[in-house]
Amino acid sequence: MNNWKRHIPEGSRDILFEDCNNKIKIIDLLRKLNIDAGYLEVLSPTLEFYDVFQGDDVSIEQEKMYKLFDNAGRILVLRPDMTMPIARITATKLRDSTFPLRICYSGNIFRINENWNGKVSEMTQSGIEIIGSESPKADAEVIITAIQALIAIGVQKFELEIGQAEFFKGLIEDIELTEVEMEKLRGLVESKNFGTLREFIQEKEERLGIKNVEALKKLPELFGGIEILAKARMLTQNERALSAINTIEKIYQRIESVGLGEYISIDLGMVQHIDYYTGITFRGYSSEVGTTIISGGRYDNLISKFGASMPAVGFAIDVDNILSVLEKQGNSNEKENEKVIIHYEDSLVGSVYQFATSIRAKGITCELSLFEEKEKALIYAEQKKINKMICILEDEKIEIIDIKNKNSFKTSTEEFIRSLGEL
Amino acid sequence: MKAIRIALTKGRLEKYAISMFEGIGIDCTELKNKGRKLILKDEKNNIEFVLVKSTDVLTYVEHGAADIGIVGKDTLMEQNKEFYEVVDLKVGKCMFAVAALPSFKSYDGYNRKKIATKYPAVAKEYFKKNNEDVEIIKLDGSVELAPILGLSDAIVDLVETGDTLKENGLIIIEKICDISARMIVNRASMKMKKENISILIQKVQKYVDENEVTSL
Repeated sequence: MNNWKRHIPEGSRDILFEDCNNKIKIIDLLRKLNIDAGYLEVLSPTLEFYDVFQGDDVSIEQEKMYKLFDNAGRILVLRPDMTMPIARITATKLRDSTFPLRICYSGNIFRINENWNGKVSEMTQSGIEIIGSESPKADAEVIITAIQALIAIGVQKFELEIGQAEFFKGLIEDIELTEVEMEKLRGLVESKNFGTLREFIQEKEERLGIKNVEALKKLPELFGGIEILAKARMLTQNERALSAINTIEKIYQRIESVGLGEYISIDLGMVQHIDYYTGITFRGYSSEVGTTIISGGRYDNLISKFGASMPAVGFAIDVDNILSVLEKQGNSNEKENEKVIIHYEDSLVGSVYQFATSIRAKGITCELSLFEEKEKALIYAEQKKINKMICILEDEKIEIIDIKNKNSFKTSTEEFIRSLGEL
Repeated sequence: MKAIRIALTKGRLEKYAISMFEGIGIDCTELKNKGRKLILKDEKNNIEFVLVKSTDVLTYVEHGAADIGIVGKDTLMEQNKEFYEVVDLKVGKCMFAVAALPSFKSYDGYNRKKIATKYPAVAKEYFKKNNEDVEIIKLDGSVELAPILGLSDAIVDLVETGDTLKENGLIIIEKICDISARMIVNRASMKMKKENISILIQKVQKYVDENEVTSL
């Protein structure tokens, strides 16, 4: 019989020590930024009903969700997304709160991947949602918050590209295509399949009419700097599409006047989750990794699926991808705390904890020796790369041993603490 | 500026890719005399080539370890991965088809048909679309053998000239779709190295358009 007790499932990971510290530091930093900006923090359950993520235009495929049954035979899933549970909470528990509502969260989501493709099945996301505001002000705030967060974390080279779901929806408004054909068209635009898209449109030219043909053909190319908007305006007269461009422009102007315009690019061919998003969409890339590090957008129809109609916009940062960016940039090795270990005779335990607390208060990592013999404690300290060992002698006297060069001197606890303060 | 890294499919497509990249002014000297080297460079244009198996092209490009890939549409269809599929190179043309012995009948009673293939995802998707309930058996080579030895009722495979089928007494029952080589681009690379990659795409598209006209 196979025994897996010494293994972990494909796609999962143990995160140890420094990696673990770095990850939690990022989560804490993001939490602080969001909470300081007035976002209210929520925790939602890891297990949710399958139905929360199920619906006509919801984009999470059932084969990507980990499913199990509760004791009443109902289907549960390990949450594959953070936004839908927040939509559920908003439409139920928070429907009478003061809007606009600012919410932030951090937590793990779960997705089933094919084996052996190097993807993880448990990912940490940290994100925000602004619920109850339709204004481009809210869109801009979300994007500005995202950029500021990436800068604060220390991501050096990144770009946030903005799309607008309404632009594509406008272009296909008067077009008569079957559902299958429409999905094919969307797929060709999304994958920037220029050639095949051109052929597909030429084949159907008669049915498409001439109105938006040029714009559709050019759609995959409509990405780049802000000048793309002017280009796009020339291509269509469709009001919905034009107003989509106007929203992007308004949002861009706000970001620009905050001085963050350099991080923004435009991609009108971003039509990935077009049923889910109803306005702006955005994705962030770094030059260090091949995947998105952040994604988000406006989803005005989602909350109504849970019984209360409210506009909303938000983003989620993929904390694990951010960590690989920082690692590749090579700036994750911050200055480490100084480390000391205290070795003491059992009879002196009474004062040791108090002493350790006062050392820790100076920002020094301090652990207590679990050894009986001083020599063993020294070997341990050397292997653990601890800087100093403090041996407690009688009468408040201590001996400080520098682990590297084995130099030592005697002093008193009081004096030692005082010397730390001077550093 | 980091180099643009291109993953080429080893073998048949490699030759065409080299002549195409030479055609648009990239120095392929190292690529042609590769010896045991794994990364082959054109220092002047700041381009690096790697040669890998077709399915690995997708893996390298999806993870961004390579920015661009040259690979057959058959491989793209079999693997559900994320990337931009920017140019149809119009070479390496062939098709996916259902083939069987002449005695095969599509609608023959209620028996569940067995389909042998190297491309289970492609076969599954095709029969799902046609609302046909079939059993798919994955093989790794010489799929033509399966119906002859009675392992399966039919096969789904790449058909180039049809000679292999004919020699083994098989006929094409239905064409599934056309296949040709594609140029694919990692999503982040497309944005972060936009200028260089856009120019490359335009040059390749132009090369493809011109060479298609002359071959007519």
